[in-house]
Amino acid sequence: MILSHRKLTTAVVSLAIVIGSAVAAAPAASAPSGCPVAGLGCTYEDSNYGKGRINFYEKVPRFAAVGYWVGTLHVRTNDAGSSGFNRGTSGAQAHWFEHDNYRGAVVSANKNTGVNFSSKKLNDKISSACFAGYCR
Amino acid sequence: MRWLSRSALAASAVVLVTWLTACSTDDVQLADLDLPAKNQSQWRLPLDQYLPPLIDVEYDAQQVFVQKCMAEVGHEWIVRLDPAGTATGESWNSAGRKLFSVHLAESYGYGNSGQISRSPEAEQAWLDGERSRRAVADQAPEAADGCFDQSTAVLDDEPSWQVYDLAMEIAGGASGDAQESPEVGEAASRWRECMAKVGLPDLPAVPEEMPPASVDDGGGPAIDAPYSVGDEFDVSAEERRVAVADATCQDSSGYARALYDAEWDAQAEAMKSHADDLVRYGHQLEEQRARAESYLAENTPEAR
Repeated sequence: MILSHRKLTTAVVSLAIVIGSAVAAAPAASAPSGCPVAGLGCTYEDSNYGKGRINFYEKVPRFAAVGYWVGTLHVRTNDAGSSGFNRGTSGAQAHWFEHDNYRGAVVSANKNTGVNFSSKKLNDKISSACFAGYCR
Repeated sequence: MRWLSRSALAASAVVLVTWLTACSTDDVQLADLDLPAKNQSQWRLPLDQYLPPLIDVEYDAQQVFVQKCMAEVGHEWIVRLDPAGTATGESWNSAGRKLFSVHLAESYGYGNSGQISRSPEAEQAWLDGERSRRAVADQAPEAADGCFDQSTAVLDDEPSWQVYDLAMEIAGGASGDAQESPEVGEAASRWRECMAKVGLPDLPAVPEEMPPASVDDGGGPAIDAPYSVGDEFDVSAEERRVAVADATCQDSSGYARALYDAEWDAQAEAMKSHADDLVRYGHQLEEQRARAESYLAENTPEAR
């Protein structure tokens, strides 16, 4: 297919936006859908706050024990999270950990910010989460 | 220079710039990228100094700012700063990495201490304060959000998060690389042999997947299980037995050492290609923390 210069430029720009949104850490932003209540730490099945979610006010010591993702009912909850958002209200950081019970490498997000776990090389590798101070 | 073609000149320039950049990077790596001393028991790693610290002066300064700001609009935002010199809890290193050892397994099983070392009374006071802040933010969300927004004008932590984001990216990759190294895989086989005597029907392939379901039935809600100060010592005899055996086998099999060395090497290697950024970011963090310290000294002199 032959594209006009203008269409080609538009296509290139669109592709860049798509690639950029896929690889970059999610920026500070207003709360994404699926993270509706102030105070929550929100974990999503897909990047950029997509598909199922598992939300917490304090902690999730083992994602495997949660059982399913709200919204999709997919049952693989361990090593399956792809993004997170800190909608906490007190200023505490939200942490997501590589292994159960808060072990291994950690991804942290400041208040009102989110992160694609792929940007920290931990896509589909998250097994626990907590707000700072609640990691018990 | 007239005999050089334009393309040859351009190519020469590219080579020169590449060479200068390489020299510059090597110089930075050799001279300025300061690695800490190795310490396996604290799981100290090269990137720790660039990761979000558990004891965070910028967080403390922001809380004090919000406390003053909220007071101006009639809300009590309770902040209790830990005394100067407060350490991390014994289950954690300064960069927020959870530790595991025979001693810790004897105390907490697969659980852990609080992230900050506090007396039970101080921990309860912190927990009460945190719950109070959440309640106030629920009651007056616009005021709380407004105060956090205003805090960025005085104590913008965005430059620090630039550093943390890069460090978390490198650290996440290094952790995965370390777990996949052949030396760690061989040590995991020895760990399994050592753990056979513990008699678990569902012993996992690697220590990172401990404890299995036969030891940890998940008792209680999977999300936000209620917690009281002191619960961390409420560990079943079976969990304690397995955790101690696990930590002992991780030591005797060489697993803990192999994983630590592999993760150290992976981080140090990955840091080389970010040396310029990390040196600059190290200075950036120092400036950020000095500014937060100054703010606290001016606004909470009684606590410093």
